[in-house]
Amino acid sequence: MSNIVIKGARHNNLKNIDIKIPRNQITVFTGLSGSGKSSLVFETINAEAQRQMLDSYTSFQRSRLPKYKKPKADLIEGISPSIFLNQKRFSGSSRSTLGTVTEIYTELRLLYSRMGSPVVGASNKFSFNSPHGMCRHCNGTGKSVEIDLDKLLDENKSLNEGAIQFPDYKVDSIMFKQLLLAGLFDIDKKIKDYTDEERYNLLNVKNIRIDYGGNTGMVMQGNYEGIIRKLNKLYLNKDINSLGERKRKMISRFILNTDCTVCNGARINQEALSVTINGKNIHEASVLSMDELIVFLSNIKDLRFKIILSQIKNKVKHLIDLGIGYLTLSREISTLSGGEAQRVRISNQLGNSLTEMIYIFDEPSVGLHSRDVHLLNEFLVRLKDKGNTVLVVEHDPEVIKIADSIVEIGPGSGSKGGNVVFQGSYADMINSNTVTGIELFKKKYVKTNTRTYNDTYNIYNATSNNLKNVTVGIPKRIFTVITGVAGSGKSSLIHNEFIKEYNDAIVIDQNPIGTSN
Amino acid sequence: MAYMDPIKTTCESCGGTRFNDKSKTYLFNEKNIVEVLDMTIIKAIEFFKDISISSKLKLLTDVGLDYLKLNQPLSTLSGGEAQRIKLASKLHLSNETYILDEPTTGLHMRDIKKVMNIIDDLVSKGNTVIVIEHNLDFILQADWIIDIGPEGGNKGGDIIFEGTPGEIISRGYGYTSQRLKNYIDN
Repeated sequence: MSNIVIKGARHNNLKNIDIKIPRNQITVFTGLSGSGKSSLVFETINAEAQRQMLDSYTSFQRSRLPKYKKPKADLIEGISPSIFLNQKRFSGSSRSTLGTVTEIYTELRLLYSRMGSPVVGASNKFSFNSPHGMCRHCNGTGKSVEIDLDKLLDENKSLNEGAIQFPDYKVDSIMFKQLLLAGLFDIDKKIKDYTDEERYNLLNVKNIRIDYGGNTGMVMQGNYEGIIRKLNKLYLNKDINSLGERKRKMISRFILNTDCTVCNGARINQEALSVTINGKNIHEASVLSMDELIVFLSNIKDLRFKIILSQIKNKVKHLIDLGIGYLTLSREISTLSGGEAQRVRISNQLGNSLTEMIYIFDEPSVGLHSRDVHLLNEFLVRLKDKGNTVLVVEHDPEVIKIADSIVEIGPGSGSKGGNVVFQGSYADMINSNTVTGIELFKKKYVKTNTRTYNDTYNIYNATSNNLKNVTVGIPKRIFTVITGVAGSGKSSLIHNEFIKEYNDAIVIDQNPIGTSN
Repeated sequence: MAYMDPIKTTCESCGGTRFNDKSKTYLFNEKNIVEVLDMTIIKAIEFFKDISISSKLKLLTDVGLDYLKLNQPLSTLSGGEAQRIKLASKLHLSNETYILDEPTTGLHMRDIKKVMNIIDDLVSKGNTVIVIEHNLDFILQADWIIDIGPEGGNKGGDIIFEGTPGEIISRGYGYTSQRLKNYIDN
């Protein structure tokens, strides 16, 4: 059996270490945060493998490729090209979906253009990113943006009492005065008592000429138009991203994102939507979860399309195997969590037949419920069985368990780390007396002195995303854990429903801080 | 030549320290600003022993980040590290509601205890703490557990358990309960 051999590794806090890592095996690297695992695996092994491979390109090509620094080490031998599967979220506009990045949607388009009836022609007629396929009303985004009337007006107040919630129309602001000068409204009448005509005048009326100046002796003329008409012109008809951060935040409180009124969110035009296979058009197929899509595809029995069908089914099956079978092809890629994004990247690797590569993973268990960790483990074993070397930085006991060898870097973090304190099998770890060994085999402790609560934050009949009319009380002033398998609705409950009701909560997430270096 | 690799070299004038010569002549306990910023937080706490700076630095020890250097660019932090820095900057508040999304990401089992201590501390100041989490050790230390499921996607979206850690083990059902039972038996 051959090894990856490293001598005198000194990157960051690494203390001049020598190590042999078996090839064609699964090796898990563990240790405290900051102990030097990343310095060894990512910044020494991965960096050198990438650097040497990229060195074989011309300087023109290299200028367009990522750059890697030569790691500080005396010797690095026995490496091969590496594939690094990290936790970075996908960036990308709403035009990138799970279907487009995995190319499952691309192949589905091909299938619909060849097999669907009626026949409408080329596969780009089913693309929401092509002028031939997109819904003309929303340009293929599937969305329309409107002012939310419930947020805009407090029906129980009169204009004078500040019924209009939008800051531009604060009582005594210029826009507010302009509205009064139109002379159309009883400023002490509550909005809920308005007649249809008054309501129309307030919100949607077209230009009405008004005189400014009052009794100053000067005359200036201007136009008054309904609030919604005005706000649409000022803000919504522009690209909302061109506005400043604060303005954008303010406006987002007042807008309602709804499905496009023409395509109902399908993103593609009516001609493409008329094409069906087994009674479903391509949009209906792309809002199925992977679990449902595989059933739909399996029911298509047409020998002429056997090859493309099996290709699509394979890709769908990979996503299911990795525990993200609850996702749909229409899901926008930028909304995936880091863990989900990593598993999509992994699934794209599953189809290839590369061998003798080094696969490097950064905490692949993140975001996976304990139930699904074995799916990940099976995948790691499959990669090894194909003849690859698998290096995993990981803390999860259930992944550590399946490693052929475990390397612990430590003993502490920062300058107190940087040494190899253990290398061996899981069984050897019991007697290792390292931090990881102690934690792995200690007795598990269940909290019994739990705090009690007197009051709850209540959420009633929550239905966002997959929530099934959920009513729940979350205790105040104690420590609550929300859990459940990936995709079960934890985020929908907390990040959508809870935040909507209690928007002064302090959210501490994993998005990067600040921007510059 | 426009297509060649850009060549980046260290600034000759400051030697990569970013400060001018005059700034570097000012010393505190025999160290200039560049030497101080190059310290890890552990070292800096010793260095500033009795000065108020050290209490701020200790917040970073509490969240398990004392191995970072003071001059580390924020753009090089992992998601988990960024999250813990945000947490450190909000530790002093009371009567607030905190939502933490998977705070154990990137943490060794031993470091998870530090996060647990921070949460206990926050609750003792009258705060509400709500954490979205899969880590089994972590779930077992909660005051209250809400389990959503039973599956992902269309087969999920229901509350399948509400109660204490003791209760999810004794009378809970569903995957979380199963896995927890399994975990404490091993």
